[in-house]
Amino acid sequence: MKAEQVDFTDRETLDGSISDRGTVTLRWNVPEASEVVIQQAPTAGFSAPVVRYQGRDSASVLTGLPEGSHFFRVGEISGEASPAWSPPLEIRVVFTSRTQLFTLLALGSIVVGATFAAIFLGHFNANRRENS
Amino acid sequence: MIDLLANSISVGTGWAIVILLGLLWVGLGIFWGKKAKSSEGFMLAGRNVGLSLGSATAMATWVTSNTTMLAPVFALTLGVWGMVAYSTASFGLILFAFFAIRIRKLLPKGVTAGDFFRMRYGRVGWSIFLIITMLYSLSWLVSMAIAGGELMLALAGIPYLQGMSLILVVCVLYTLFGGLYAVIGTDFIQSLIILIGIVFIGVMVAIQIDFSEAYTHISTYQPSLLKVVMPAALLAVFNNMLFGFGEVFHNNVWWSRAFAMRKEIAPKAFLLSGILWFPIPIAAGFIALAAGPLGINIADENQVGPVVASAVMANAGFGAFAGVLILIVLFCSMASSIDSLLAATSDLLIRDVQEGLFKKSLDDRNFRKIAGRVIIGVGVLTWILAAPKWPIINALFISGPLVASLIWPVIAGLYWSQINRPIVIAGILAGSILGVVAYFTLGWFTASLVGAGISMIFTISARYIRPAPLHQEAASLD
Repeated sequence: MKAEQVDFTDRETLDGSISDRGTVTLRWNVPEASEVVIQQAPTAGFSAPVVRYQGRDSASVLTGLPEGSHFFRVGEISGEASPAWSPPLEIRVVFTSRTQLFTLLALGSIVVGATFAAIFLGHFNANRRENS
Repeated sequence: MIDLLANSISVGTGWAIVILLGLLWVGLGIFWGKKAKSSEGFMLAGRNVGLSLGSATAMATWVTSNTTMLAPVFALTLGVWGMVAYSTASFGLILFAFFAIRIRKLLPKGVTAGDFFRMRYGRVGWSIFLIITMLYSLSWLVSMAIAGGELMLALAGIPYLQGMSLILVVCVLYTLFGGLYAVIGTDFIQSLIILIGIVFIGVMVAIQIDFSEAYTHISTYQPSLLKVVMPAALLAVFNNMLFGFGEVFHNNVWWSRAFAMRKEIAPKAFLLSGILWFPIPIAAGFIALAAGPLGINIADENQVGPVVASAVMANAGFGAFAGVLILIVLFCSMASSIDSLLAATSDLLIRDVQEGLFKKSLDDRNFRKIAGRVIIGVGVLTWILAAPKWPIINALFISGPLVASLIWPVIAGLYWSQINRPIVIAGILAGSILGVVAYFTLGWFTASLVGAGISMIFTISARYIRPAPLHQEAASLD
């Protein structure tokens, strides 16, 4: 298999997809016994890339990505030559909106707080009834 | 990285470990089973379980394959808040300490959680409870059997069907011979092994990691894991806490332990088990967070715990011992939950279906025969559902809002003297349905919150809208 054939296997479903928790699992078709490198950059031009993985595995789970667009590409390492890169793959991280988040957090606080209160009040009232 | 796990121990070593552990548990089950001379001895260990066994069995049962496998996934994907979110499941055990006092006062001769629901909410409420708890218990049981088979394959190269069958057969055998005596006894040993194993692996990670470099690495490459406002993680805190409340408050696994422990011991044992359980997901999550800083590639997020543990122990020169220790810890964490679920689910089927639904009471001689058949039946059903490796774990997660909608009915039934029962039952149904809708539309991290919230509104309303006095259940149990 030639270097230019290395690519992300889930490209169709992943490219342009949105993650609400900043996690993406990248899989690629690595030829046996070959080494690949995965780069990440904030733009499709890869002007300031960082290496996220280099080795012989065929997948990598990347977590904790911040909000925004992230571009990835994979290349097979062969000798001294620069890898032939796959086309860029875009993943967008969009967290739950702040309005929805704080509404749900407020509801969560009320439900959890009321649950604790109901148990403690029930416990102490039951004890008081028995003692009296 | 999966290769790293598969190569960590040979197939022969893997078989030897699980067969030796299996023989140990079955042998102990037979030995402790000799104490179970009556149905009450078999189902409730003679209602005489002390503090050390009581707290160990509650803690070990709550350390499931989900704790050892899913807590690291929470940390890897949701960061620090993810670890905290998973740990909040311990609050369910801590709050159950208050329930245990009340349960023993209200139901001095109670046997299952079904007894409580039947008398507080009538046959309709009790039937809904049975459907929810059977769905939840079976999906929990099957998901653990599947996890067991997958781990045997990943760690020791044992084919899935053989590994899954083996762990299930071992748990069925010792539960069959020893009932709750065997479950509680083995849980005590298993809890010690789990604690020692997790602490040992955690220390290995701590020795190898440079905390300052780890912080720099995570804040550079995984900044959302350290964010204070990480929406999915923050919402997971409330969701997981309420899921845990629902699981513990309603399920017969915990009610049977409340009935089995000595009256004055039960609250202390649940409180202690909750406190002991709290740091376990944090330790397991810490192991997962070390993956990036230690340069360990994670190819499958569900395997992050064993992969990192295996890598750090291999780096420390433990070689094959790494795989052996991980296999033993995970085998114990699964067995300690599978046995408890087998026993509690079988008790529920015998007590609530055989005696409650069909009105057929059993004497002690017939009880052991029927109990044996039911335990084997539950084991066979679990095997049938686990064999095709369907994604049953999704059914367990979807059951979150269902069990969460039982939180308030349990609180009201235990502490309130009058209530409008139809409104409470309507709340359970509305909470379950809307919670499942939220699961698919808003996200999994909102489902239990919605289920519990809706049920709470209905239950509180039921206290004030034409309430009727609740029965004095203790008398009707005699």
